[in-house]
Amino acid sequence: MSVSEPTQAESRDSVLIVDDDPLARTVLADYLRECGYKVFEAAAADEALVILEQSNRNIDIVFSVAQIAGKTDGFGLARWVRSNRPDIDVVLVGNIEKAASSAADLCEDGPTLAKPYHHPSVIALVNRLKLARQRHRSE
Amino acid sequence: MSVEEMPAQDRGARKSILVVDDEVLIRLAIADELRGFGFAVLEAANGDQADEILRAHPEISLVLTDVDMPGSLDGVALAHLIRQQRPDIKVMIMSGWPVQQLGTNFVTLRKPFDPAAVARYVKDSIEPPE
Repeated sequence: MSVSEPTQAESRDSVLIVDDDPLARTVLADYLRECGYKVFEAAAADEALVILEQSNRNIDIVFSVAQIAGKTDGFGLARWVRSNRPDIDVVLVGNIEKAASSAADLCEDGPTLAKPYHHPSVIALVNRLKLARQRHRSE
Repeated sequence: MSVEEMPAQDRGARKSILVVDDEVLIRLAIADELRGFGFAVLEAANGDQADEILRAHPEISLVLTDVDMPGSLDGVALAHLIRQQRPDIKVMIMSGWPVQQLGTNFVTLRKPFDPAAVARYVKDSIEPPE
């Protein structure tokens, strides 16, 4: 089936949350929407790749759990974004020690936040990334 | 008025809808359209996630679900579970199959469809035009 896409330019910064835990994902998504962000949700990294590759949604930040079920995990998603959409910031979330070890094995950056989500820390990080993007655009 | 511009008490009074579909672009498109109408929209990628979300969100008043999904609960099983456990929730099924083949008496929206039209139908079902 064909899916209609938004035709208006979306001015709000947008975040794609990738988490296979539906409760954690929906609560964080609601929180970021309340903070004024446009939020998209993916229940797997594979779903995130579909959104990034096949929809014309403007996405500024991918916020993904590092260890997630499916063909692609958060590290694979981060690699894809860096190669194909370097304009998008990626935040990986996970068990810092365990995932950092996996990241080192893969020569990837490790996660910067741990679960359970501490919402004020998430919004502080997302806001910092937003400001950095704005500075970069104005340079 | 956008949702963000609503007074807090109005946002709290928004109706909550759960959209369940393993096809992420369809789920996303319908959820976006429904949010455009001011609804609070939750998303689940399969029946099991939907069950988990329903247990944690008693405020949900309508579930819009696909039929063919991976996991232990397909859309029809999910609809029956909701009817049994939460009869206050309105359920609508989205399917490429004719209603007769589904063998249910739930409201069924036949795929393929336009997500905007689906969202409009849902809105009119919850808030009939005056």
